[in-house]
Amino acid sequence: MGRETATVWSEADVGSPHALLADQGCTIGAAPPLSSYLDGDRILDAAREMACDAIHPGYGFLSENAEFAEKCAAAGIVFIGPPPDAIRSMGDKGESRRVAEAAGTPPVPGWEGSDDDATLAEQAERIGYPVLVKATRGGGGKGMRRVDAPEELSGAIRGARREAETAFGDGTLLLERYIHPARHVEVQILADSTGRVIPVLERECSLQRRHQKVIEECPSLAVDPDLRVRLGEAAVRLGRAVNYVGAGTVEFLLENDGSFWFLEMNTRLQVEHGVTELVTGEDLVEWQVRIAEGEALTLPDHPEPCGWAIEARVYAEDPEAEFMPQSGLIDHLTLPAAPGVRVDAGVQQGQEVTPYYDPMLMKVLAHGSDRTTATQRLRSALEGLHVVGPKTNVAYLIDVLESDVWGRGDTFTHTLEAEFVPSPTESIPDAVLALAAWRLATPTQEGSPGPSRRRRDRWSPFGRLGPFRLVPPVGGPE
Amino acid sequence: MRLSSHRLWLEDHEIEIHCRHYGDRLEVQAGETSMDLSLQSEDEVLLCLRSGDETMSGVVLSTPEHMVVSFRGRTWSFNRRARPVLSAPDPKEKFGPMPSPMTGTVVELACSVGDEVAPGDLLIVIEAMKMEHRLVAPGPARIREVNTEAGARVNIGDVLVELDPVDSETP
Repeated sequence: MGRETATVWSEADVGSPHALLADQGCTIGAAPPLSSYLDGDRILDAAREMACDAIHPGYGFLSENAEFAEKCAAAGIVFIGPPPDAIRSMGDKGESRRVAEAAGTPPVPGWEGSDDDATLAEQAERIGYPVLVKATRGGGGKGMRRVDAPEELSGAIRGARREAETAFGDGTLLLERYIHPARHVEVQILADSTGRVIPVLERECSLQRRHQKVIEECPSLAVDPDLRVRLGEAAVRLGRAVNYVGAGTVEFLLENDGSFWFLEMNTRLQVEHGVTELVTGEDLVEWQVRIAEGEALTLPDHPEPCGWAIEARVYAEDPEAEFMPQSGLIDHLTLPAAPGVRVDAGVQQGQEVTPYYDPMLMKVLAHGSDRTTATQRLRSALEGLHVVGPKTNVAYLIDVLESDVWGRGDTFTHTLEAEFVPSPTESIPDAVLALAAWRLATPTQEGSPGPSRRRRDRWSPFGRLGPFRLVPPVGGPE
Repeated sequence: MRLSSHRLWLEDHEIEIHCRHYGDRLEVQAGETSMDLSLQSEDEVLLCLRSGDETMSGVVLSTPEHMVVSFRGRTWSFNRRARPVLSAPDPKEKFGPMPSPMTGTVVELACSVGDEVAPGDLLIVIEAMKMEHRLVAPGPARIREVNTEAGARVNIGDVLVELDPVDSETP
């Protein structure tokens, strides 16, 4: 777009890819988010110092913070996002349920209001178990618990409230019926300042663990053209109801009979926006900027999907140890490159994965003429991705994409946790022995540091590996 | 034709690899496995080998001490030298000091000194990367020592509690 860019980073992110890509940038504080990425005043000071006209808040931290959006406006800096009132009403789960109901986009049956333990227990009985305990200000599965029986309720309330207080500074809770089986289907919307709101296809993000999305696709196998229109209309009604401007996502739970319930609206760019970009050829971030500059949308009322796109999120976590987040130095990184493959990486070789932020390392996306082609491309791409250092979920992702469940599209929100329990690998694959043997038996490559070796020397590939942790430590999580 | 033999260790498991070199080909025997390999391509540390009609590609990093192979999303870290022989593991080893599996913050301390706990009982909740992780008792035990408190920041490996095994038959 030819715009000059400036960025900010915490002390933990000095030299990370986003810091290197921008035209200019500065450090805004220590690693803990409260002293840096969640400190709106510091970010605004930095923006003023670097003479920024606008701030794109990304998709975490302050991206759904109405106060920050207002502070930007007060400072004369454009906040690239919806109006603060829209953020506020959709950010409050109770309010968003009321607004959706009034707009004719029915929410999941539930309870929001007084949230003392006794009332919640009473309401949970009324709604019927299993129920979900959710943080009113929550998102991304934080501050959320599924409760199957009354005796588990008080523990879940305690945990959810604490997590919500830590993550959002507000421990208010609500209840929702646990809809089962359900698919997570969401509609991307774009709205311009003339009041035009359009649905830009759906994404299916049913494959989740701990309410964190793992694999997403666009379009959804479960959505036919008629359902696409109905979902799109429901999303647009809600967007209009809050005078939405910019890019947003309306999330639904879709049942097997085609009925769907409003879950929540994310008033920002989604992590998984890339799959929509691949099947529409539109750059959603570019549209966010153009809309913020007052441009009118030029997309048709109902964009059609072109092919199929799938995204896999690569996390630094150990699937064989309860998916425990991993941190440490990335000793080696090979990224895949092939036609139809896109990698959005937040890390690079030689970088330390710190325990301060989300353990997502990158997103690997593949686009093809149909779902089978996109799946094959994504699988090959993941096989060509090599991360040496912190353990990752890459093998787990490959297993899922190779499964019949994925092939048939039998994807529901419970599927990953119910059907994909990773087991420790017992034997060494022949290919691993072959690769090791070839390297051991080919002395020209060994002991003589070639140019590639010297390039890595700065990070001393093995000096910092220390004792290998092949076994989960005693006393890990249950 | 040239012969070579190599050894690798994965934890305490020793792997002997025997190779026969025939020009561009390599015949490999490791335990029950035998393969006839040829090189398809090589780009820095990225190796692509062919065995019959199968292609296998992965990254191999090696130093005189270690060899790391990354293949299909998993990483194998071999030692190239034998590790000193360790005495047989003590069945009570899972008790004693209980290290923190991660760097994070203690958000809940659910045990105190003298408590008797059953297998799976919650001891400590640690929060890291905005997610909670539960440390539980590995077996019937008594809490001998608690070295942390709610709100404390802990590093990986810090001993959080010490446990004494309790005979499960004892009432």
